[in-house]
Amino acid sequence: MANKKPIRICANVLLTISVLLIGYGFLGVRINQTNAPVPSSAFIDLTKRIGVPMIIAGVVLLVTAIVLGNTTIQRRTHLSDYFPYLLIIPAIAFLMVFVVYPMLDVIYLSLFNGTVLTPTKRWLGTSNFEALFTVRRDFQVALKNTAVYTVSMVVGLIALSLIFAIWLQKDRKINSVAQTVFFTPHLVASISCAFIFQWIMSGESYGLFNTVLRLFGVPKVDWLNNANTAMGCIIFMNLWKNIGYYTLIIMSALKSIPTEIYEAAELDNASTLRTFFKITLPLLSPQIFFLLITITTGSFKVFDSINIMTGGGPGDATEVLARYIYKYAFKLNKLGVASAAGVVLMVILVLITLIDFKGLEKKVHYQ
Amino acid sequence: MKKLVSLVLAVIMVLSVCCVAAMADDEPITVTIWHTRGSGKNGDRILASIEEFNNTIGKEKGIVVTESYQGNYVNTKSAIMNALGTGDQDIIPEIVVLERAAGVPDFAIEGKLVDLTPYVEASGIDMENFQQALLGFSYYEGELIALPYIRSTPVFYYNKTVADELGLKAPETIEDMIEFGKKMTLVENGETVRYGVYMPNDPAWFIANMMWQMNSALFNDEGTRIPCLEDGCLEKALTAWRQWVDEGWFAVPVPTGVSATEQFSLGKFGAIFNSCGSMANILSTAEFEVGVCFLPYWDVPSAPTGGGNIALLKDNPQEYIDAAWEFVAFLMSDEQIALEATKTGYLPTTKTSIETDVIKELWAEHPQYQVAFDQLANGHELPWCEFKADFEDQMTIICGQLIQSKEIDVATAMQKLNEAAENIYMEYGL
Amino acid sequence: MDKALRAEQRRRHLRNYLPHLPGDIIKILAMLIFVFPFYWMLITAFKTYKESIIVPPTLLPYSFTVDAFITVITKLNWFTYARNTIVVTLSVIVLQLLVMVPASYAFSKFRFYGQGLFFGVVLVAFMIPTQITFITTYMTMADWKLLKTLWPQIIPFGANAFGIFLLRQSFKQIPDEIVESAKLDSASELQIMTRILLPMSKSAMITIALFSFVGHWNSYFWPLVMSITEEVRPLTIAIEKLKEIEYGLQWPQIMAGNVLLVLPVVIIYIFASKKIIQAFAYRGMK
Repeated sequence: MANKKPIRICANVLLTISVLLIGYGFLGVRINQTNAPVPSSAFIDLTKRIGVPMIIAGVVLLVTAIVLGNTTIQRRTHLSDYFPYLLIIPAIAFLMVFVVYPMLDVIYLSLFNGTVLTPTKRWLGTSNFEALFTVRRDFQVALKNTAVYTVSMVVGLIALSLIFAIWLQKDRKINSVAQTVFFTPHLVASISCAFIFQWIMSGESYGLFNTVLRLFGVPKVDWLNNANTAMGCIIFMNLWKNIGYYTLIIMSALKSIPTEIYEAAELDNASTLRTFFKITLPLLSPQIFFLLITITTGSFKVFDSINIMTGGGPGDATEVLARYIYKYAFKLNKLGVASAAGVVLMVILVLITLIDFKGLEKKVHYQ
Repeated sequence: MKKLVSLVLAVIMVLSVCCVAAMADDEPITVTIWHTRGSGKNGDRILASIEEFNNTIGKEKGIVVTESYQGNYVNTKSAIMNALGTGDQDIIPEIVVLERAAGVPDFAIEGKLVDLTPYVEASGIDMENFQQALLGFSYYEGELIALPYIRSTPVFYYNKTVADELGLKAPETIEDMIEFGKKMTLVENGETVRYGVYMPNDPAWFIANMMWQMNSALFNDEGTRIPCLEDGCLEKALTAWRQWVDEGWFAVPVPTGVSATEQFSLGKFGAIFNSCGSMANILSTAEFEVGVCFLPYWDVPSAPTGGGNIALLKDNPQEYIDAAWEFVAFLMSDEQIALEATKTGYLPTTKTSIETDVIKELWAEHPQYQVAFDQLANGHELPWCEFKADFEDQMTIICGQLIQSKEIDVATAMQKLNEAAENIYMEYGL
Repeated sequence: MDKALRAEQRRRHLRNYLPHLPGDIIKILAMLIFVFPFYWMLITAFKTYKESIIVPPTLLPYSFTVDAFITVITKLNWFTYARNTIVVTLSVIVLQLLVMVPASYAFSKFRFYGQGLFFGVVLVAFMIPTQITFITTYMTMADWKLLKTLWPQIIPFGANAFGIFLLRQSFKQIPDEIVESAKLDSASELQIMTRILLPMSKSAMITIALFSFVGHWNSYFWPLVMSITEEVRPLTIAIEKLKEIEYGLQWPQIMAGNVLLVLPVVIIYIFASKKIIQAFAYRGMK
């Protein structure tokens, strides 16, 4: 019993080493595969030769770590303790091939100045990253725009879905109709939405927005051509599209809160606002926490709606990271830059999710 | 559970049918063309060409052509690049349509395009017969790597009905255009019902052209510098453009998804700078008489060209490339070129094609088409320049900020452009 | 006597309802705002081209014609595209189900070493945009000789990170005692998953399935990259084809295409919405 801790530490160390070995081996294999013009040195040559053995070693260490680690968890280990690994193998396999491997590849390619046809044309090291943050103003603008969009969507969606969910809470006919109606925009493809909203937000006087403005005697606005409002329009459209869905998620959570709690609060003469903040909100925290991650990561990927409505314009007012990556990879034929931007995007997303997880997991109440 | 199993089986069956269909037997050689011609008149035209070829020459020589639409020029380019990246000849198409300036160079430099010189000789195609202005991106390092296919040039469309009413004739110089535009503008109740002139935010075409008109250039012939930044011509053009918009008679470029030609057909603009490729559509939609004339010029008349070239990809078996050439040669025949020009709005690419009855009839009935062709005499083409896409991208963004959203003034725009140029020179070691 | 009673009842109902009135009016207004874009899409699809571009636009079509729909269905390979969309979407959902349920079960009801690491992989996968992964995955699909089939639109999505995450949360809220007692009754792991966990997670499953269905039905970028021949293209690409760059936008046709794209989803949703609400209500019972 008392020996568990050192074994645990040992297992963790082995696990870390195995992951590093696999990554290192991958690097070696990839350098060989792509005949990359990496600056030659004894270390690099060694890497190239031991790529595959490293991966195998890594896998062996991984299995050892797992076996070792499991002894610290169970009282006595049976073969059936390894059953969960069987359960997760399909999912992990898919993720490894279609997500982790491309991610590693993108990191690898960001170190070169290449094109899609010759991905490893010239070795650059970290120059791409330096350039992104110094010289390439358009990247900084794209980053800023993406951040603005994401924050707006997170705040807007969570606040509005909470409001809508509580608004439509009661079991009335009009509420169930409203739920359905508010949900339907979610079913429409982004490209279809963009076509429709182009007319609604047209800069002409007959555009819907401008018609409404006219009712109030306000002069028309060229919504999509104005640097200040263009992003707002995109945000508006995506809010319209997604509110219903998130409202539904929160509503389902609301319904699972036992009414006894509310009754008890009423007996204690708690005001509606107090009930909301002290009872409802904490009990909804798992869903809100989940929404936070979902909306954040989803917003960082925004692409289709902007592509069709504004093409990144006017100027670069609505240029976002996903478009930047695509543009540099294909239009400007600079795969290295696109990959570097991709790496930055991944790092940001990982950091945000980690912060979300660590910071908020503590606050989440599971019933 | 049963339902699940049968669903899975059904799915598997459908999927295997797809697999089998893809592995069709290849008695006749099947070549594929990847192109940018979507539905409508554009798409119909290529389908018609393919069908005609398959039923005539194709049948004789045992060649079948199939096509695959890949989206716009950028999407098509990316699809081709991805395909080439796989190195799988089953996937790589034989024939591709590439944007002449934004597509061809990327592949030519990587050596992916077939040298068509021997083919052209064997088929008896005379390169002198082509409109020389359209051959800018056909040669690379002495090799003929692409042929003009769906080429266009922008022209000045104007509302002739209204112009006649106002006693205005087609403008020739920029000064003419300014007067023309101011007079064509119609303001009712403080709102501009009709703008005099519209020009899209496409600096790579229009501003570049203005530079030639001022005896300057966007890129020098060697493709190493941006002369118009240094001799003040770019500043002159941008100042004028911004001034025209500020004066209220020159329209602001519309957002990406809006169709400017549609607006013109509805009478929203008195005149519009637009590709001759829209000719057929504009002529059929506008309820007024449409006049077409050369682009107004600053000091010297000049016109840019645009559109797509056609090329063959090397990464294919030799007999497939030979077969693919048969189709390309077919497309380069006068009949096909003439049909192309009449059904769409694209330019007749050869001198002999305009002798055909088809073109003669078209020009007799709609003289507007001929204007686009005649303008080729002043045709100018961009030079090969490795940083062309970079600078054009920056220009479009900065012009957007200057003209569309008006966030910056001309001085700031020039500053940004100079900065962009400096960064580019540094990046490319120039 | 009866009449007076009924009159009194009616008055009472009215009085009870009155406080709801302002809120309901706002609700109806909000619903109209939400529904308006659909309405716009629908009526444009039934207009002629000329009417679709006149200024100011008409709110009730003068010309009521199905020309746009006929053009769209006949000109485009409609049935091929529709078949592809249906097959891909259903296959993805089935595949995800098979992959997702065991994984969520493992993460929620078992303790095993390295749990955090593997779940971290799932989380990371959740975040990565397709613009980053598509080139490499394209090459992988090419290596496996699958590019001319429907598989590239299905396989990469086998592991639905969003689904694993949501389902894990849902499974976690099912008391362990139920699972324990099932094991005591010598239920197999498969039975535990299908007979106990799944039925109790109906709302999560429906949420996930709905999200996946809509997401893949409407996905545009991925099929654009992965489908290089007509046979394997889905509906969304077809609609993009309607947009003619050099020839102006044929609004009625574009809208007709979009209506046809969205119609099946809306129909399924309307029929399923009762079940959805039921499922969500079920969760309330503890």
